[in-house]
Amino acid sequence: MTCFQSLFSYELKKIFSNRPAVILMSLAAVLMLVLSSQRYIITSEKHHVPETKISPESRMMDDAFFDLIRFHCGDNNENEPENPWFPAIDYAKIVFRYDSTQSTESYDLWNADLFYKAREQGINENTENLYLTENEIRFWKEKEEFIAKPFIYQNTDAVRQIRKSYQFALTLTCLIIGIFLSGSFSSECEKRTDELIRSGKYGQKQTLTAKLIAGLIVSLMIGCLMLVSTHLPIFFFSDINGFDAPWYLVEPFSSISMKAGQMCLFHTLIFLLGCILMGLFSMFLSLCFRKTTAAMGTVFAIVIFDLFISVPAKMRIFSQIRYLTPLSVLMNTHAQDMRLIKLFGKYLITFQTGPILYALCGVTLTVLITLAFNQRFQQKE
Amino acid sequence: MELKVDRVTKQYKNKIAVDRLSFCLTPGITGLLGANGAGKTTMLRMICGILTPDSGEISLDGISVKDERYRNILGYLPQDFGYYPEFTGADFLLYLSALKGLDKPAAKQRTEELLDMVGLSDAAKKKIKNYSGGMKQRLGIAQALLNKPKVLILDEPTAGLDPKERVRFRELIADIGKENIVLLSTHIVSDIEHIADFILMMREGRIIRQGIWEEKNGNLEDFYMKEFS
Repeated sequence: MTCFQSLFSYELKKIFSNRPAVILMSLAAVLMLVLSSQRYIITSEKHHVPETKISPESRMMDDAFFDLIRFHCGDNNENEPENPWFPAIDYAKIVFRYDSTQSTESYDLWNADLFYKAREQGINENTENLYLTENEIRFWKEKEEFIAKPFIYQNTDAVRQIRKSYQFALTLTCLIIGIFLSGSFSSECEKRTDELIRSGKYGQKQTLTAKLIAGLIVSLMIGCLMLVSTHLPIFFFSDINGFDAPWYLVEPFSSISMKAGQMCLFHTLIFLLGCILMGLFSMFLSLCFRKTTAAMGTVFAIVIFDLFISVPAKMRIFSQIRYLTPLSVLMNTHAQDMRLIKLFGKYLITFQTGPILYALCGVTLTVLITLAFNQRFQQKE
Repeated sequence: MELKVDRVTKQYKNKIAVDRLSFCLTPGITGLLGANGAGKTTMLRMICGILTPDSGEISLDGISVKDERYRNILGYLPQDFGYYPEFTGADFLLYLSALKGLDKPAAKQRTEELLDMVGLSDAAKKKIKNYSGGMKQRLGIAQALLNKPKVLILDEPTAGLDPKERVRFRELIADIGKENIVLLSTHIVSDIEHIADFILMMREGRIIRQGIWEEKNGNLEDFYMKEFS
């Protein structure tokens, strides 16, 4: 084992010697497991499920399809997960009940024509709400033209459940990363071990590298643990299907024709990059403040800010930048952010802009951490 | 081997902690005496390369104290330092061995030697949070010696040690000082009175006296008390 490997392993040991944080992480993982499983475990009183061999799978979403939906949801069992039509009903509800003022709440009114009109109306409303430019509207219209209608239905319930879980999982993960890493540098000051470290042969560049890599690996480990805790019950209890379906069968107001599996990969990438960014940010704050509680408090405040503070879409640039944070991109909403960024003559959607932006932020934070670390003992005390 | 401090100055806001200090250290024990706030710790931090002087230079045979080669032969015991409470004594020394560039087998062997030397072999597997103040100080002394330093800087090393341990420590330092540069900062005159080859006295960031303390000069403690009272 080289000295660097030893330094790295001791950095991990320091991070995981924070017992309360380890307990909190374990509790959070259990919470995610329970929340993900409860939908499948807790079922209400059994209702009669009409005996039918008709499956919604691969059916064209035309009037006949909505007739069958009406037939299968008229027996008080539309909310029963064992109803094979349940995911289709759930999907249709997103469109018909998107806006509570819509007059399509009643199943009796459901038909194919209304479904596609309501979907178009939802997309148009979103376009207006986001103050899209002419070019952006044209971009999405061109995408929409490639989407064949009527849709061919595929059950994407598992994908939708996975998609829903990302934002809450990332919120918890960010807080836990903040707890673990906000002391990575400041605790050396607080424990007064920094002088011992800095006077060692490998106490500068190598220690910084070991701390950074350990912090990043811990961030990714926590992120992966949370992802496994949220995804595993979904994979276990439901059929793993829908990943080859187009994304608009998961999020009906989306004009993205990418496969659901590809979009899940984008979600996972953004989730993991979000974890890395939070890790780097926590370490940066830890260096700047030299007080663990101050760094941790700032991490918490920023997560809360990200969740609750909104910037009106009218303030186009500020609003677009604000909603590019990982927590916002993974927001559990059916109204997707349709604003685009033009890069090298090509329009990029938020799921493409995000990873590029996070990579840049990650590099910037790494440079800032290095500068702050080197400045640390040169500052006047 | 010569450690050269050349017109070094360090200022904190309105206070000059170290004011154009110049001296040379060669193998042997140098005692640095001074009252609290004289600038001793600031000086030692600069010699260890962890604090940058505002002006002046510090080097060992032309190698800057910022150089990794210098840190490779440096041993430092800070005055006020801490530990990782969840680490055992052995873990702490193994970690600092890695920081000092010792490979795993060498680190293990040196850790065992030093724990034995400072009388902590029995407590090697105990967590540091369970150590007494004296045990922690002995562990601190052990860590400073991990890499068999050619330059050993000790800031108030006997704080917390009982009289018996102090005597043992003095013998150890006297032995190391035969071939290496040892700079020992203290305000306890008896710590250096009989082992220091060279004395530096600091007041308000300046050296007020430097040289070999000879018997004809009288008692060092009396002189110190007169100067600093």
